[in-house]
Amino acid sequence: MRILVVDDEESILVPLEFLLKKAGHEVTLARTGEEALKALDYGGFDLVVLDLMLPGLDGFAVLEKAKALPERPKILVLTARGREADRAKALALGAEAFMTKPFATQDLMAQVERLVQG
Amino acid sequence: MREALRFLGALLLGLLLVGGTVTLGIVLLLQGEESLARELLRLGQAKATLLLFVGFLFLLVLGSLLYPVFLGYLAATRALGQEAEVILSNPGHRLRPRGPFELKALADLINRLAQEKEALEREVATRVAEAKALLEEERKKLTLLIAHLPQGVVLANPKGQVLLYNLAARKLLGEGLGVGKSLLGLLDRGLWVHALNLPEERFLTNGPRGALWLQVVPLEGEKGHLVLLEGAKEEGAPDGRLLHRLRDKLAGLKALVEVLDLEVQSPYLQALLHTAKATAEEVTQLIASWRPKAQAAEVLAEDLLSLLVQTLEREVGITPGFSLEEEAKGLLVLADTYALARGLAEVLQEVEEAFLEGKREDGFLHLTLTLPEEGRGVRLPPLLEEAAGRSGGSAWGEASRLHLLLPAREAPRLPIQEGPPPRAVVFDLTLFQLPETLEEAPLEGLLYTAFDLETTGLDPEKDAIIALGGVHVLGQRVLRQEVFEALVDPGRPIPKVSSEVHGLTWEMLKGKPRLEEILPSFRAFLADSVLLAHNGAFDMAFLRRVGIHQPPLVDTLLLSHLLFPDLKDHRLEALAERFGVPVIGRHTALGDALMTAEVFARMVPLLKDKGYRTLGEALRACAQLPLAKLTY
Repeated sequence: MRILVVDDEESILVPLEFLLKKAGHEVTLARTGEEALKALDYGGFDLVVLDLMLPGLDGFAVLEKAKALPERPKILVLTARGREADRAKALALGAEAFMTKPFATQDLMAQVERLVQG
Repeated sequence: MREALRFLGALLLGLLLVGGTVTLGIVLLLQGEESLARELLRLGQAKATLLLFVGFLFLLVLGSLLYPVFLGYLAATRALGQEAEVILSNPGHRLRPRGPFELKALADLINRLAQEKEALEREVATRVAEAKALLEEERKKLTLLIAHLPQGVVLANPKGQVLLYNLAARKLLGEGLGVGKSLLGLLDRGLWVHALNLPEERFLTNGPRGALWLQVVPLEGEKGHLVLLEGAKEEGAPDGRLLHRLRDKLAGLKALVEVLDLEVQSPYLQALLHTAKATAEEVTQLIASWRPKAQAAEVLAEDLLSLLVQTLEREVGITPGFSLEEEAKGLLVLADTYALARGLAEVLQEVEEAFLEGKREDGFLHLTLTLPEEGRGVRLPPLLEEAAGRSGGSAWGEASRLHLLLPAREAPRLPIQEGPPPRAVVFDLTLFQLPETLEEAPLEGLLYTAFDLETTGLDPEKDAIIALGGVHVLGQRVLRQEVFEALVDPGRPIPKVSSEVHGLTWEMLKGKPRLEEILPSFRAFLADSVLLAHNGAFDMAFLRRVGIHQPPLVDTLLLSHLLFPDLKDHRLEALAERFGVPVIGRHTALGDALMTAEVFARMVPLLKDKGYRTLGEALRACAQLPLAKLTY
């Protein structure tokens, strides 16, 4: 499966890339909202792991833009902004799942598998 | 010339009177004397010239004799009038009595009146000066008070013109603030109108000298507005971002260690993983406990909706329809109402109609603004997103809809507060001027505590207090918001006879505090006031037993005997009826205390009429009454 990981925090990208690759997925990384959109334009992603607080275009904007794509990937929001209002907004904008940081890697991987399979 | 004519008139009148009388006399004399009359007529005709001449001579002499006297009298009267006029401008001037004695008497009378007028004027002037000094003193105190408030305070008339302000307000609003100038030039006019509708809410706005909190409280009777200002510091936001960054980094660190641990089984990594987990946990807790300083206030959902609609009407001239589902009614919504309204106004700028819908969603009020579908999606103004974010909510657009999620909670059910609206605590600044002794204080210038007790029986030696009630009375004003009410567990059964009077049984009082726990606060409530009760000797006997002895005591029962010596009924309810005080809650301690207070307030003017002006005078007169000799 092809997975796009969007986060501006290197310490998140590195372990996620490692884990996802180990689980047999093809991983692309993006560090800003703009990079994420560019990657999404190429298409073919099954899942996006998306942070909300990004430099420039933020995660919500990416969510909104992603909605308009012809082949919309599933989106897992992974954020330190864990407020209930943010969760509701993310889900309303089309995210399939919402996880707050800090997270346990097992939980995240379980969530990813559930989304990819389902 | 006028005087000469008046004199001639008077002379002619006199002459006519005299001539008439003489003619009448002659006619009467000649009644029946036909020949004599004829003779007399003939003589008269023959000597007519002579008679006319003598008559004219007489008139001339009389005229020249009387004219100066007439003139003199007129002049003296006029002089008196003119002199009396001097008194109007110089109240100390007195008339010198002269001329005929009637004029002298008149002058005396005028002098006496002038004297009384002067005394009266002097008294009025003294009173005015006293009142002025008092006002000035009060004004100084108030000015001092306002000047030392840390908040900016501006008093404005209904048009928004400044009447009064303090230094703090000047610091916040700058040189543009001045008495007589308009506040509306310094503040956002839209916000001003908005804030007026929500007098309990503070609004963040940009003043001429930076961000400030604004609160506008309309004064009673729409006489103007009280504007409260406080400087707003940009707090919270950067800290919040920093904390989230930290959480982000820690989450990364933790994930990194977890992955490493999977790959390289090492006890060192275990320790690192443990630390990373613990730190992440602590930061999470820290963030959970950290609350940005609320930049919003709580509004009832229904109020919020109508407020938003009103503002939209005013700002962009469209009136969106709105609905609020039944379950959302009564929710307290946390919102920066003005920023929200302005954000929505921006959305509706080029729209002709819209519909606003409010729904309850666990922990939130979900507002949906639906715009007419014309293909293009809604653009979410940053202002709206910020406004929602500030109060812990969020906002997003979705096709032709705009969603706002605002934190909300169930409004606590508060008992409706009865009584007058809140007022300043200090009622009468003249109270600062205490007379040398209490005795000499005027009755209407003192603070009283009207109180009443309910007891288990009538014997102060054996029975116990089960309820205390009290209310402060300032002169003739019953301060209904300053009341004391407490029920006490007597620790023993209450005789049925007593329970029938006050309706209190031991079962009802079990679990209430004991008297020892209540007394300190009751003592504090009584402090610095004159005790006031109906048949107070009875209550005082109970209070003395528990160590409260605070003379003097004003007793409305004794005062009633003093005022109405010939009436028979002096019970509290009879007095209440006589004075038109509604009888409510009779035989509850507070009910009776309130009634005593109201009765006393109405007695004060009557006591003054009877000559009992000071507390001492009233107390001494009461002490003379045979009833006062009764002890319990």
